[in-house]
Parts: sequence; structure tokens; C-alpha cells
Amino acid sequence: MKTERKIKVIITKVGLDGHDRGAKVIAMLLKEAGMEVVYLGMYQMPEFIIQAAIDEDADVIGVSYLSGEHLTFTEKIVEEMKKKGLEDVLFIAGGVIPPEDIPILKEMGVDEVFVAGTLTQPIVEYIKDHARK
Amino acid sequence: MEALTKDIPLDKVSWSLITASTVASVTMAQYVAVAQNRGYNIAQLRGSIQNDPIHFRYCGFRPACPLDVSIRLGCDVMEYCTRHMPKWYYTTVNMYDLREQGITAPQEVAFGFGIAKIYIDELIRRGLSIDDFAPRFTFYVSCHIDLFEEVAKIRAARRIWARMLKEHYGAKNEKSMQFRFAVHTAGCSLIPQQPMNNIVRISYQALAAVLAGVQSLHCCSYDEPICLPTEKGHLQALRTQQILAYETGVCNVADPLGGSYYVESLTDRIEEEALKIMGQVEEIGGMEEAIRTQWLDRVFEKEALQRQKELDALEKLLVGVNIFTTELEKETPLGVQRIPSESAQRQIKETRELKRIRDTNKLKDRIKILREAASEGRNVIPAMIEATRAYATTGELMGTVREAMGYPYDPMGALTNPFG
Repeated sequence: MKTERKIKVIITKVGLDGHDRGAKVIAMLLKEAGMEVVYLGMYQMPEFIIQAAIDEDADVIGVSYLSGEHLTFTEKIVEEMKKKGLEDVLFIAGGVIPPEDIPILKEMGVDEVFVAGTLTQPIVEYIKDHARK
Repeated sequence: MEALTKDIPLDKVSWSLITASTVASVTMAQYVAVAQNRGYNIAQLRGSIQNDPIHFRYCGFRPACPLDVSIRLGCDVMEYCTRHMPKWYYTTVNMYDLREQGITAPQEVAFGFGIAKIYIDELIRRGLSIDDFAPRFTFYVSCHIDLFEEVAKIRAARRIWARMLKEHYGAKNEKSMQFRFAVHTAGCSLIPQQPMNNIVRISYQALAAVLAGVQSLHCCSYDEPICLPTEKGHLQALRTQQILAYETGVCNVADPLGGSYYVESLTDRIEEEALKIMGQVEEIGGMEEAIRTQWLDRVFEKEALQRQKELDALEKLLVGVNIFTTELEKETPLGVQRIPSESAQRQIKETRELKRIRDTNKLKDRIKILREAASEGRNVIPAMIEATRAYATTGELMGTVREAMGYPYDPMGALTNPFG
């Protein structure tokens, strides 16, 4: 019998932002939804996140923002992803993000943005539908 | 601090120093240095400081918050103020940030008092008597959306504090037994999906705080789940408080819900529950142990997960999130706050310039004195004040203390000690 490979997700925060409640909760919920979750925690830099995604062969990178620095860091993460050839890895962002910044993030290369107050089911469904097969 | 206090008569206003609690010792030292430089008698100055370094590991920057450094520096500020600044409120133990982790109302009270006991025990160990310092001990409490529960929580906290101070610590002064607190309405209860409705949530939470007898109140801005609050958002939040204070009449009476069968029984229940949790903490060896073994982290994670599951399963209803959702109410009519990236660059430039023009020899001497005080277990605030006068930066003061206590100079490991 062939066992299906679990979707592997990296959940992380970036920079000096110390608010990790959302990131931890989503990490636990994705795990309960049957995914394999690598939680990198706080204070990561874009280079490290991308290296971890390569080492772990992750299908999805999820970054949680609450510091107002989402534009600056996303640009760096996307740049690093391109440099390392991770174009097929799904990149989702979440947290406190002004609605007008969502199109800007998507333009940069974020696949989807889930702001605070999003229920679990739409996030799980989105990842299952869009993560590389 | 010089720039911040410029042209303001420090003896005419009560200052509220709200900084990252990790560096509250530095902030306090800077304030004292500036005040003394300008000729004020610090014993006459009034104000408060958010000095609770222990809590900051949970919502700030944990690598900068080793538990022993947090207790030491927190208590250094408390001890210094008790001895030299009798009108100063030297701590606001931050129950609020604990609640924002997702815990319940009784847990908020229990864990907040647990942390307070760590500081109190240390101050007593240093030779202060409870009535010397307890009248200036204050708290920072959350007010969430369940109105009666929040009123009952605060009423229960008042009872537990009074009994704890009287019976456990042997306080004689009634002022020691009074639970002093400020309320900040619950940021984590706000949502970006229907932002204007947050104003209604904030109003109910503020009302609960006032009905419970709050001494100082801060209302969240409605746009907090979207961005750093805008100036217009701030002003609107201030108006919410002013309407409550000057129009509704709720400030004319103390404890208006006292005697209500429901609120009284809820108060009893929350008191009982909070005491039970405090008992559990004692059983595992006290709050320090609960923090050190990450027992408390596990509670936070479990509760935060539970809060989300309650929303997912519709056990808790949140308008705009799992009920009455709509695509039409996403506007933030008062705009979105932007922090210009140049502001960080400007700060870096000014710090570099300060480092270039300061007297390096004087600085090195003062840092040496600080290192000695920190190594020998003396209160570091006087040495910090002197080092601040030589324009030592926050990082230099904290790094020096950290190293003296056996930790790396820079919690991120990027900088080495420039003083060798």
C-alpha cells in the first residue's frame, strides 16, 4: 500500500517581532490537520528560513507578522527564494497586515495572506489545494 | 530621555514610563539622570514605570530575559524607588500581556500574582519590610469582552491581594492591601474583518473596567488588528473614555454591581478558581519553577489553541469571524499608519553621532563601576545613572550587566563587548 507523503510546512517569525501566539497556534492546528510542521520560532532571518526550507524539503513556508515590517522582510524572503530556486514552494503570510498591503505582498510573490481572525478551515483547505503535489 | 522631557516641568506632571520591561532599569536610570541634571529633587517626582521584566519573556524578547537577570533588575528598580522616590509607582506587574496569550480570567489573576510574589519575596529578602514598599505596587490588568466575568475577576483579584498581603506577608498598612491597577482593553479581542465594530467591543470592555473600579484606563484603538494605531484611531479611543467618564455617570459610584447575586457568585467562583491555580503553582515549586521548567509556556500554548478551537467550532461567537460575516465591512475609514523606514535610519545615525562625540574615557570608567556593582550583587541603578550621564547606550548598560551575570553581552550574539 502506498502511503501519501505528508505536506511539510515551515512556520516561522522573522526579525525582532516577539508576538508568537498566532504562529504557534497555526503550527499546532496544521499538525492536527495531518501536515508535518517545522516550527522555527521567533527571531529568524530570511537566509536562515530559506536554508531551513531547503534542508527540510518543505512544501510550504508560512511567515507570521505583527511588527509592521511585513513589506521589508517579504521582499527579502522572496528574493532569497528565487535565488535558491524555491519557486514551487508555497509562501503564505499571516498576522496583522493592512488590507491595502495584501495586493502588494501578492505582487512580490506571496501566494496567500491570512489576516488575524481567520478560521482554521480555509487555511488548511488553501494549503491542501495549492501545495506542490 | 533628554529630548523626550525637554521643556516639560517634571515636577508638574505625573510621568508614565512605558518601555520594554527588559530595559526598565535603563529607562529609570535615564529619567533620574535627566531629572537630577535639571535640578529636580527626585523624591518629589510622581509617575510610574512598566517595570516587570519577568513577563517580558512571553511577549517581548526572551533571549534578553534570563530569569535571574529579570528578577534582579526588576527588583533593583523597585528597591531604588522605594528608598529614593517615595512618590513613584515602581512596577506595573503585567497581567495584561499574560492574558493576551489566550489564558482565562482566573489564570490571568493567578499567574499575575504568582509573578508579583517573586518580586515581593526578593524585596523582603533584601531587607525591606512589606509596608515599606507594597503601597506602591501596581498591576496592569486586561479587560476582555465578557462583561460580568471581567468585573468579577477584578473584584476577586482585590480580595485575593488584600488577603495575601495581610495574611501571607503580614502587612499592617491598609494601603499595602489595596489592589492598585490600570486596565488596558483586550487587544486580542479585536478583529480586522469588520474594523469599526471594534469600537463597540472596546466600549464594553472599558465599561467593565470602570464598573470594576479601575484607577487608570487605556482603551485600544479600533485599528490595532490592522496596523500600528493611527493618530485618528488614538483620538477616537480617547473619546471613548471621555464619553464614559463625563457623560454616562458610571464614575459617580464605587462597586455598583456589588450585591448583585450573579456578580457576587461569579466573584466567588473566580476567586476560588484563581486560588486553586495558585495552589497548583505552589505544588510544582512556585512561580519561578513554573517559568523555569516552561510549565507556564505549555499552559499558554494549550489555552491559545483552545481559544482558536472554540471559534472554529462556534462554541464562542465572534461577529465578523464566525457569525454575521460579510465582505462589505472591511473599510478602515481613518486610514492606516505607516512607519517610514527612514525613522530607523535616523535613529542609527543619531546613535552613531552620539557615540562619536561622547567622552570615551569617562564612559569606560562608568561602565567599569557598573560592571563591579553588577558582579558584586549590589543595586545597579546608581551606577546606571552615572553611566547614563556619560551617554552609555541601553545596549551598553544591559550588555555590561548581562556579562557580569554570566550571559553573553549581546543576546543575539551579533555584537561583542566594546569595552573589552
